[in-house]
Amino acid sequence: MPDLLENLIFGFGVAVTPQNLLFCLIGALLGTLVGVLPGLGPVATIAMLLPVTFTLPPVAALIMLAGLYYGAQYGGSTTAILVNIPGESSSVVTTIDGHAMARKGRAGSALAIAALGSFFAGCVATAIVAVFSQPLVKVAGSFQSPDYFGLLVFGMVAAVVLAQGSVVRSVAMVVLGLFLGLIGTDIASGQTRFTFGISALADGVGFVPVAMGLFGIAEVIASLERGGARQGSIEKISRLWPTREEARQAWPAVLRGTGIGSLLGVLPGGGALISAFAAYVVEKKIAKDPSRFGQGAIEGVAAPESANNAGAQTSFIPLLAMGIPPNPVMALMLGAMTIHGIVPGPKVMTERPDLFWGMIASMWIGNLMLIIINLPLIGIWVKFLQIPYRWLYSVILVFCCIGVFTVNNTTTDVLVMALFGVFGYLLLKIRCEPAPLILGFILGPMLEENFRRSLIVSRGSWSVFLERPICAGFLALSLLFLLLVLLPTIRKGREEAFKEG
Amino acid sequence: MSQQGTKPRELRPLPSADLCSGLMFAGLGVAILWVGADYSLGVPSRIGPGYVPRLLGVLLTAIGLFLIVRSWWTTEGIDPTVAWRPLLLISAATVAFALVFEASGLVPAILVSVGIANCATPENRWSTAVVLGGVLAFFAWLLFVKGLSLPLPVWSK
Repeated sequence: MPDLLENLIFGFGVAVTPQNLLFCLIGALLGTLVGVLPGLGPVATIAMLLPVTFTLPPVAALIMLAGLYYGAQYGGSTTAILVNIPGESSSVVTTIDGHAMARKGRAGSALAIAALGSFFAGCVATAIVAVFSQPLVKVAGSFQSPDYFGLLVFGMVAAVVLAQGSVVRSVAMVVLGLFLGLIGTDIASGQTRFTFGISALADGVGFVPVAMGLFGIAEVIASLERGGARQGSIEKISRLWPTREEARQAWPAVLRGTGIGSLLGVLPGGGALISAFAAYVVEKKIAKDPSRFGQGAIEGVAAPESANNAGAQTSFIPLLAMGIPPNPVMALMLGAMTIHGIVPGPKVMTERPDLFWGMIASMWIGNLMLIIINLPLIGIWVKFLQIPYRWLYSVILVFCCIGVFTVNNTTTDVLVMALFGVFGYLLLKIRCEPAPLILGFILGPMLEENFRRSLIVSRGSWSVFLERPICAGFLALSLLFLLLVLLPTIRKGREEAFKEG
Repeated sequence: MSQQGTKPRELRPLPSADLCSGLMFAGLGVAILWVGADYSLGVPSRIGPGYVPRLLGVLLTAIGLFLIVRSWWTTEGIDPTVAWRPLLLISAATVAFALVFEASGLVPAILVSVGIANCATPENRWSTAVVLGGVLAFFAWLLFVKGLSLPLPVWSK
């Protein structure tokens, strides 16, 4: 423990330098903006900002990008409550009771509870990241190739189980993603695979153009199809403070939401979205009078908004401790780290303690900034909501193009993005979730490498995956997860959970 | 969020989500196996470049076939309408950005792609494109070229 305290003080020392404070603020501001604006998510924005981070020191860059992700969780609730449209996919459930509250003239209370709940969750999650990363790093240090293989498989299975929609189709999306990750030169043999003689593909398909196509371009097309992502009037804010009664009802929900979010954030495939859903379902299940939900129950705002912020922050744990990104946003963080020559994983903590602890400390500072950005300054963000989407989408498109180009300075990547934009739209149409594909895509090369190494060690015998207890444990857990989710009763419960939106 | 799960079958049955995705996955799986047929599998203790792709190809084909079979008794349909106007114009604007950028630099690329993208919704007038394109080109130049000094050709012949 004294060790931890010392590290945290060191982290705060890094985080409060004027430069890092500034970038933390920029990240929080941008995150709130992205959160408020529907049709623009953190994945596309972080990808757009990657070129900006080239010129920054790595600590400042990562502090800014992290701030953007959890900042978006704050901003998303504003739009959800005032306009009945999720500003961020993770605030989908907040629209239900948040907007009902706003229609009853309690918009101020809903906004305040959402922001205060997020702040509380953010503080707890920061502490959790600080406390649990260190032991996990130690565990990860003893992992060998088969164990990593098992962990990666488990991560993908968990992602599939937690994803929305059909489990079988999500498994297929993971497999497709794994394959896309293998395109390019095989590191072991030097042979180029699936490049069709196109030299630009020899280095593989870039992660950024694929992610930007699936989450940026496809989203623009789909938003335009839905008629411009936003309609409806903005509700007025009256009193920006909850009553004593509301606060009394909300705080246990904030606690539960924080707990659920912190737990689900750590799981591979987890993060903000699933945390918010789960928290809402739990509140409804344990409520004495479930019929209040949908009519403006404050717990229906407090729990998911706390959960999504907690989940957003604890999803840094697998990335920082093991180098495994649990969701697309963390995959981009991994990309940002690689750009700066940092290999994410157990070694970051010992080799770059300034980065590790500085980022954790900045999360707490960022949350403090966000509560100020989001409560007293709420009027400014409401103004942004009045920008029509028909102007905004061209801006998003151009920034996506410039962002993708600058990562590798090649227009081929822009074309790849266009291709995946169309593919992403097709996937939406046939109801396949793009998130598992992205996860498979990132983990593909890691999986192949650990698979290869395991087989070298075992001289070609697959039994190595069952002989090592850690690996066998992960594989057994994966199998259990898959079986559970395919059982009819559980599947029904899961479908209900996702139907709440 | 989108509707999903088992819905009661509607009056006119929609194309099945499982069938469509199954066909796509099986098709892609077979394509992987076909293109990857030449890559060496290696030996188990030293797997070659074809080993993992072969594994994934088989897996993807199998899941695709499973989905096709399953579509007999699942009822989830897809949304068969395609928003051609945004689909074509947004992807065209992206491709145009790449081509024009290659040929003549950042500012023309922004102007052309905003011009195309602007038509994706009927609500926009040509004047929107002119103002948006101009403002965006200026800010992109200010931010990326002046501010971040990224080596982007601004306006080349």
